Amino acid sequence: MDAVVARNLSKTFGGDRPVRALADVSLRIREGEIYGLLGPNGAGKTTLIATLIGLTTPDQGSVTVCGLDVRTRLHQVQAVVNMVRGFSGVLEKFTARELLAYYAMLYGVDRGRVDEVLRLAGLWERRKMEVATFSSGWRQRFFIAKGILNRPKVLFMDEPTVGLDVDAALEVRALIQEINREGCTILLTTHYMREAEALCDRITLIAQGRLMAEGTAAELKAQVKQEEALLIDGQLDPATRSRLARVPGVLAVAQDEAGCRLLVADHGVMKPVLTTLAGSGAGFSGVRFEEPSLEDVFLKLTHRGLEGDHE
Amino acid sequence: MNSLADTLRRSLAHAYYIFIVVQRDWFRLLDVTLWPLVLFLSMTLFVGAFTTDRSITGLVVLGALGWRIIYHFQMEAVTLYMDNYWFGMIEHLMISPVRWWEFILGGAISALGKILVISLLFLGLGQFLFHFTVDRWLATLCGLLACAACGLVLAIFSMGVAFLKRGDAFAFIFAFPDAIAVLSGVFYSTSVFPGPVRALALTLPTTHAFNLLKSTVDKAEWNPARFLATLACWLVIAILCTHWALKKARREGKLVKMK
Repeated sequence: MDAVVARNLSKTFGGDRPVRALADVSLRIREGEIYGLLGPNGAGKTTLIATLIGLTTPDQGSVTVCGLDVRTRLHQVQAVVNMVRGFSGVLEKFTARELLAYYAMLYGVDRGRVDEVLRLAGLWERRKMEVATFSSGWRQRFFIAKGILNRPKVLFMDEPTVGLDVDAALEVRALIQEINREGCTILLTTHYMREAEALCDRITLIAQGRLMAEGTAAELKAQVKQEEALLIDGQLDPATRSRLARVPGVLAVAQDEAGCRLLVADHGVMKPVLTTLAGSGAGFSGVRFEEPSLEDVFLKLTHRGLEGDHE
Repeated sequence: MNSLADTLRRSLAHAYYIFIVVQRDWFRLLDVTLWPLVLFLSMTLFVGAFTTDRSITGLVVLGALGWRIIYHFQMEAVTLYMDNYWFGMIEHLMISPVRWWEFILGGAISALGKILVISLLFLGLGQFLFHFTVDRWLATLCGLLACAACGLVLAIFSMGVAFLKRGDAFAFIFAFPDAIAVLSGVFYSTSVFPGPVRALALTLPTTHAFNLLKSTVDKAEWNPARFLATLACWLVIAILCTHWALKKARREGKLVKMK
């Protein structure tokens, strides 16, 4: 059975300047899988999650979770799902155990389960500490503990590793895999392509409220097997990026914190690219080819990077 | 049966939250200690300076208590929702199987606890400072319960405002019970108001609830039919408004805090 089925979801927010957050989105998430939604900030990931769990009503379309229609059986849906968000605040004055006990009462689970999830999330030693004093990594563990408290059939995880340092992110990813092994279906949104690649059975790329492509990481990467990714180490100004985008053989250009990424037709573009860079006086420390990644698939489909600017 | 037990448990979750916060947050603790005392002492000492008439002092003591009851029964229901909103956890609350009327029930349980403390303070100080004692216990209790019922109706309205206006709702929620209490003739007769305001006051269930309290010290006449009729009307309107507000908030994505 499919854990989540969304059909033709559309959603527009705002009055004077309406923003289309979702445009005819359809997806199926199979029971037991980790399904990734990969897209930049503002792509519509949070709105899609909010719509799938009934926090937001779609203008059009329908959603079922575990066979239950979210519009008509919201209360039953809420009993079998839960959510983890990567940028949640936290109620002050509560220890981890107290706050989980509060959620346990809301979900109707016994206090024994509170201690169980505290141990599962590695929070047992910190159970008497105020959650508001936790570092972001520990706080995220707390939210994961809260997310699995009611043994959800489907767990919605919205950017669960955003803002975490490398070690904390790795620990959280390990926890996600452990939860999934227990049989929980997971919908994971992220803008980290390596995270999506490492965790997800299937991935959907989302941009401007539209689903652009769906498949396993390998299937998606097959879409750019003819192309090459050229990475320029350095921050290029918009004018230089525009000039690079006009170089024959350059298919798309995107800038992020790591550097400027070009999707190119073949190795032959290296020379005109270097000439353009030299002509524009751009500062950069190196240029190299890379194996095309999910980011390049995204670049090819949307002409946007997963993080930062695009041309 | 299961559903009733679930509702009770989720309502108790709110009460659990509020009692932990009261223990650890000075501001919330002052809500059941200093602020009510300021209201009580300022009014009773003012009145006591002019008269030794026990019934007048009783009017103020019971009026102040009724006012606090309305305030707490309204405020506690909304507090949990607003706290979750301020602290950025609103979606975690609203994704749980909680229903809107469970905020009201949970608030009522918390309010009962707080009102018990405030009642002891007010009645104890009333007796100690002004030799005021409650003579007609049953009628007084009915009056206090009537105030609690009015507070619950205001709480339902306020939940609707909170769903729709989120952070901007707080000023309204804070002012609403006080404005209603003043308009309802808390320590005085509504006949002091000009005609249209007096007519408006008579449509408020709180006016009739205060009249019941005043009647226990022979300072007003109580009309139970008017109380029940206005309460029922306000209750129906409040439920319809809040149901509509929740649907609208869901449609506009206001139950989740976007990045």
